[in-house]
Amino acid sequence: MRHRRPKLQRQVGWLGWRLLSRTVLGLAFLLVLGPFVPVAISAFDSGLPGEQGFQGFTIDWFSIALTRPDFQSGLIVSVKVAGGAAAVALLIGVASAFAMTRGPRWARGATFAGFVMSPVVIPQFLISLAMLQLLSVMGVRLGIAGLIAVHGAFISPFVVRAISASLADQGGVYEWAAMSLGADRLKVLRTVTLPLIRPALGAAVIIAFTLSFVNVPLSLFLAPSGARTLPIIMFQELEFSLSPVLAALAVLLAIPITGAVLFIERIFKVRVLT
Amino acid sequence: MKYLELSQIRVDYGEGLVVDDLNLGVDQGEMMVLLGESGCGKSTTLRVVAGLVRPVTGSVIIAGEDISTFPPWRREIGFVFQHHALFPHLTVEQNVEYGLDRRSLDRSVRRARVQDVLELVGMSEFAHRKPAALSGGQAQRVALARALAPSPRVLLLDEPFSSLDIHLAERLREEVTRIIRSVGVTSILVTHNQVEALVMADRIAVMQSGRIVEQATAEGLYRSPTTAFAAHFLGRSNVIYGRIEKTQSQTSRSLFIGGGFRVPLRRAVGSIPSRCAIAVKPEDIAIQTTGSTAVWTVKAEVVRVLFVGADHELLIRVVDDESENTALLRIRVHGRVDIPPMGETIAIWWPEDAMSLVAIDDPPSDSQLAGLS
Repeated sequence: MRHRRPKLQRQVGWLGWRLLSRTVLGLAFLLVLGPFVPVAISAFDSGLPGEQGFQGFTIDWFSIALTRPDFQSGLIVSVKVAGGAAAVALLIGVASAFAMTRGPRWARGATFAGFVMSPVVIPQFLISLAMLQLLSVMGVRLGIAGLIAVHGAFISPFVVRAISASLADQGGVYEWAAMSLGADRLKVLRTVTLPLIRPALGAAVIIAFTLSFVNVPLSLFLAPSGARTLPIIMFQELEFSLSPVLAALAVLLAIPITGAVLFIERIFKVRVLT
Repeated sequence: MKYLELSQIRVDYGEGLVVDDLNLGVDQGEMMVLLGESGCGKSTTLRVVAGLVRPVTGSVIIAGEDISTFPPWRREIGFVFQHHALFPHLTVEQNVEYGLDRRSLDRSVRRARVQDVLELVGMSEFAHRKPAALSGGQAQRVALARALAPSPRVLLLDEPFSSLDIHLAERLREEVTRIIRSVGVTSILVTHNQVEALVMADRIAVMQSGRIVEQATAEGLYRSPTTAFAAHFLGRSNVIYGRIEKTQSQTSRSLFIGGGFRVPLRRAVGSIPSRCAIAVKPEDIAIQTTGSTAVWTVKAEVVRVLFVGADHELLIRVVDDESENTALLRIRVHGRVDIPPMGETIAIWWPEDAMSLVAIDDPPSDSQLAGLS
């Protein structure tokens, strides 16, 4: 006879609640991912914008998306900015995370954490607009390095969160053990602390890269005219037409980004999506 | 001059003193146990020795050398943590090798040393495992091997068995005691478990709120404690509060009065404290039977009977019409004997050498006066 799993009484076990939570969850998914479905379909649709219905299967839009020089240069800029921003965010984020978990008392308090995490709550749109005005008053032109710095600063809270959680999980006891075994601070960092937060570091790099790569509000105002990022080029393209090329490009971008997130979830056993 | 000396250690994490003017000396090769309830500052004291916590004042001296200003990595101290703290990303072998200096020791020497200590703790066959693949007891053995590998001057053990199940903990503490004695390393063990302290210690220091209340050999502390706290903590002595009066009778020089008792004392009590307490171990209280040689007895009613395996534990209340604060006592009766049922009145006594006169610094609380502390 097969044993049935004993039923546990749980809060979520209440039928009405379960139905409600699933409905809300389903609607949320529909709202977030639903609009992507027609976009993805139109990327394979040979019909031009304005034509009704699916006109026929094609992958021409993809070849156009891949070969257009402005998209190509935008991609290169985006990769450069995202790579640089990830590096900057990692630098700020890892340092802040260490201060918040291992640092002096003032750095472990809520005030410092609030300061470090503030880029998450401040609207990027406002900040970049303000920054643009300020810079133009000062007569300063922000180059690609400046854009990288701003991206990095705004993405750093996500790095802080990943790294400080890992550092807090780890606690200080491994470091104490290493120190009592004769390891000085540098050796402890090199041989114990860093190896233990490596999964979190990997996850943080990918998150930071992705967040910078898809960023619009900062790049829109602050990207130098000669170095527009891919999302901005797509954004400006949208002003003229709802081209199926954009749909194809969106599909092309969605694949590596989703892949990267799934990759860090699997490899580093951290949850980013869910 | 002791091998390891802590003097006037004070530690403050920012919420008052955790360790308050602590002085402790440990002889070379001695196993000192710091015994106390959780939060009494015993673990913090260990961390001060290891340099992991900086005291507000005080000094740590090993073999005549003041190491107070040394960073942890220069102190040559082995530390075994409560949850082993083996590096999860290294194998057992790599963990043990971690503390061996790469500059001064050849690879072959290091390997041999790793082999030796792993053999010492009986973990040779697990050398290539990761800590996650070890049981709690195995991990703690490896942790001991890792701490011993660099031949530390002092070994510190912070509740090393408290995360293990009770049978394993019992077995492991005997084994660890044997290993530490065979190595002959000076060590301090921190525990809240009195049996562990008694089994492992050469000397026990009882701690309470950041201070060492009393220290002595295991047997000395168990048999003749001088403070109420140590008496109760070790062996759950009954502490009876009262006073001592001088008498000139033939049978006694003085008389302890309190909790419904009038116990004659043959030995002289030097300066007589106005208030004091006596401590008697539960197993030392005898139920009077016909033909016993009791000089005095007192009547008591059995309040509760607990069967605890080899012993019965009886809670009894002294019957005394004159005194309001009659003592509630715990007694242990060993073996298959007739146990008086609940509600029965019995006569009890104890031999004079079973009783310790203990100091009281705080006025006893109501529950202490009732004999429950």
